[in-house]
Amino acid sequence: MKSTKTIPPPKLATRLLASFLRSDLAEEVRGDLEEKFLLDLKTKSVFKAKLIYWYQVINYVRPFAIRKSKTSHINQLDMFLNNLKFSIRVFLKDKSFSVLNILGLALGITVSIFLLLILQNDLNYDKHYTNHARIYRLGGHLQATGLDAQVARSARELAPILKDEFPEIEQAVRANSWGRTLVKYQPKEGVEKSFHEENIVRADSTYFYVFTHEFIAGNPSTCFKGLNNLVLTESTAKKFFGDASPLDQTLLIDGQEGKVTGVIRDVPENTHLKFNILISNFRDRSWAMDEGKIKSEAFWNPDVYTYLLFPERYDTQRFHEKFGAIFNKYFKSFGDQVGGKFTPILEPLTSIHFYSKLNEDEPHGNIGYLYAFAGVGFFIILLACINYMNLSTAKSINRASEIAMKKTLGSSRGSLLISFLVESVFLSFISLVVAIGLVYLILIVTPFNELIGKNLSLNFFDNPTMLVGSVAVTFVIGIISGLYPALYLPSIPTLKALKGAFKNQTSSLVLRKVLTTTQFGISMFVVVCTWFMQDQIAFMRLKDLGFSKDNVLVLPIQDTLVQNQIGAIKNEFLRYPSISSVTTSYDVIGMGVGAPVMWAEGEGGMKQQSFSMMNVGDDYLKTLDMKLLAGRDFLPGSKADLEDSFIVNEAAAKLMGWGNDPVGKKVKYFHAEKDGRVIGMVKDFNFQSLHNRVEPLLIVKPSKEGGFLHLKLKSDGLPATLEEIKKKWAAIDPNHPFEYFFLDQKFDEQYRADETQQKLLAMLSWVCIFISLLGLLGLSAFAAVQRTKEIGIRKVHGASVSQIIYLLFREVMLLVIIAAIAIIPASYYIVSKWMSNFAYQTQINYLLFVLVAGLAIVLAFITVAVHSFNTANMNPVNSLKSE
Amino acid sequence: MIETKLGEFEEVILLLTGILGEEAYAFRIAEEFESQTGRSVSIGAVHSTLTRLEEKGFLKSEMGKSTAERGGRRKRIYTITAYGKKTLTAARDFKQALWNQFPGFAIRMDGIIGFTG
Repeated sequence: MKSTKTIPPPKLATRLLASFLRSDLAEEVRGDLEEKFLLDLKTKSVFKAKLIYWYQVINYVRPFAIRKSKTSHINQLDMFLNNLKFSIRVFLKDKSFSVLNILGLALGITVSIFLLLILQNDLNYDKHYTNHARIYRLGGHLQATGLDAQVARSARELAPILKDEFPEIEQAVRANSWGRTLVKYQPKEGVEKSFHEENIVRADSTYFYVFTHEFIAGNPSTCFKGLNNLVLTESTAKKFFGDASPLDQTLLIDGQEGKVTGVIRDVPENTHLKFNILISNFRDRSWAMDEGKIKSEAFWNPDVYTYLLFPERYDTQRFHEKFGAIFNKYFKSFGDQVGGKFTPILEPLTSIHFYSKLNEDEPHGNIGYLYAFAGVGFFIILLACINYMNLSTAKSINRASEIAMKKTLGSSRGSLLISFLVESVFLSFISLVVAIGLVYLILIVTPFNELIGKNLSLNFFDNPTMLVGSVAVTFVIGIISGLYPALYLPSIPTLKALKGAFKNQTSSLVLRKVLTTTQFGISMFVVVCTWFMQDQIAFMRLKDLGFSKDNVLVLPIQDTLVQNQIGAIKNEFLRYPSISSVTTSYDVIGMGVGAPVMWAEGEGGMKQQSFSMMNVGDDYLKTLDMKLLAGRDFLPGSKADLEDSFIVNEAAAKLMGWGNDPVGKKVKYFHAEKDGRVIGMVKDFNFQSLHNRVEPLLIVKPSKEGGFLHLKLKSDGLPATLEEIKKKWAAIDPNHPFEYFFLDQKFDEQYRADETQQKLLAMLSWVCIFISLLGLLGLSAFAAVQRTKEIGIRKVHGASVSQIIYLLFREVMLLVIIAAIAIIPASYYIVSKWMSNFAYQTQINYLLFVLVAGLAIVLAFITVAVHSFNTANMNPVNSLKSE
Repeated sequence: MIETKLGEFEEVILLLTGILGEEAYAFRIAEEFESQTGRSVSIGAVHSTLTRLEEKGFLKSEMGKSTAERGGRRKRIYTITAYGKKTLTAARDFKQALWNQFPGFAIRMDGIIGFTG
């Protein structure tokens, strides 16, 4: 028989039992369990006996056997209400202190609500389409000799082939945005209406099988069946037809008739392909066909967006594997001629907005911009919390006797902790109310939505996620801000506090200094970054672009009748004394240029190479003040220069190794029979935004002028000149409304996103500064009061008011300087990271750090001075007799 | 109709307490329950029921003498009160009355569960 005496029951289980068991039951229960254990040991294995013991212990977790917790007889609700009552009293007792706290917290919560709204908006990009998880956009990576481009589009011939050859593709739809177009409504009776529509999209008849929209009128499965059927958004339909039924009405789109067959709800702002009018019209490219067969070359000319609908959980890898066969069948024969390689790119619909890096696409979102905003928002929340911690611990002296009294009367640390948390959460919920008001105010009164290019609205009823989110954020902010005071305040020594001898402990002073330094650091960091961004944007606006963009009025030539007599029109405009030069161009600087693959003379003969290309009319270089470095401009009116004479820029000459004298080098179009010649070289000019370097460029003069009329105006009397031109243009083109823009504005529009980013951050940096100053205001007011007596004594001994203010300010100054030094590396890193978005960067001005630090010191000084002046100015008799 | 104040498990525990007499404490009752019914039960469950029965007035308890075999710890011995006995009898009589009305089974009644022991 084995000895059972030596094996005790599992210790841990026994300890567990002791932890919850009522003490009056301990003896009998432990006895019973041990008896059971000893009995089991005799008949079963030790392990099993122990296991049973554990089982028995756990089975004692029953209401009757569990020790009642000490506080359980206190009525929790009463306690909570009491805490709340206390919070309200504390709130009312020191109103200025409460207002400071609430302002800080409300700003923090306001920023959080905006952050939540923006996140909700952006993270739901394109998710309103039912099939969003199954829709992919097909782009491609085209590589050939002299060409390497990743584009968001594919050849329009590709989609029908894929649909045939891949049974797994459920639907395919092609779409193409049209650009600004004149749309007319000519009713049989009544007034004609015409508008320029920015967002018209052509699409296949399958569009509504892939993308789901809510229909107000019309049938989604049939409305798009015919050619030139139109589906309008609700607001567009209203614009043209008012309250009349839009169905079966006819609109003229760029002169072409279309019949309205459906009306859908307005397309939400958070979708990458936006449209007001959708038209079922997809023409084939006539050049792409050769005796009934599609030319292989067509596939190398991507031109439309192609969306594919795959089955649930489709592995796109399979698409790539199978694409090889498509490549061999359709791409290869032309690909072999140009040394070409084509890799399809499938982008999930929902990732396009933030993650697509392809060319030839609709405007993108910028995830970095979102991160930046979220980051600063987080900082602001942190600042607001720090504020609360700072102010509450500073106030601890005032409340020391209250806390001590509560402790004397038997309040436990736990319940004190809870009462302080109730207080901070209470304040933060008041702040929530203020914050919601602020959010509404900002959304309704200020052009904030316009600024960030979104359509945000706060409606808790439609948007329960926001409600939960805001309440949760408020609660968390309340807890975070209240946690330190709640832990710190109950720890003050009771006896000292009751005697009134309690002073702030040094540990809390140090912490407050650290917190203030952090606040100043964060604020300065944000200000420095904003400032740098502003510098860069100003730099881009002012940088010499290599051409003159000022006072160039651009008029789109919208009518072929106008285009046919453009020569005469140019001459008429030239007669105006206020117009110094006139030209035309199909490509407007800043609006994007094409980049075809050409042949150009290299060292060993003609080489295949892609160039950016601009199609311009006579006097283009002269009108835009570009500098010719070699050769000549196109001869005005000469037919000799048409199509086979090229002006290159320096970058192109450098790329081809032509040095300073490219004149006479051979260049020709990919399919041209005859070689063209370079006739001149212009100094590099930025035909794209300064995000990009100047790329190799060819300028040609097409046989027929058109596109956009460019008028260089003299700078004085601009409004009058514009009025004259408008009148003249109405006579030239009576069929279209007068349309114009200035070249410099158009060019600067490219920086709008950067500007928006900077403006938003600028606003947030003001909030940061404001919250930091609120905190400082509270702290310095407090410090001044606390040191009243010291100041009195100092004054008696002959200290001047300014000396005393300096004394109070000295500490703060030190903190600001420490913060300034600490943020230099962080802001330098962030700023250089942001700057790497730009090919042309302004110098980082180090003086800025000093300037911002200086500014912070001045602001801090003013804040401290305002508050301490009274104290410092006080008659020492009054402060000293205040005992 | 008679109010049933006892659940099945309670009734069994009450009876076992009566059977075990001086030895009626939680662990022994649990052991006896397992051996008599073949169902396993935790001491905690039995103890909980005993406490409840005591609250209802069917049982009373006293701490017994300390014994060496369980580390010198005393046992809590439960005894049935008069009220407890009365309730048990009432429960049995009630069932009996029901069984009497049950056609064809009355003969085998005694053999079903040894309630009357």
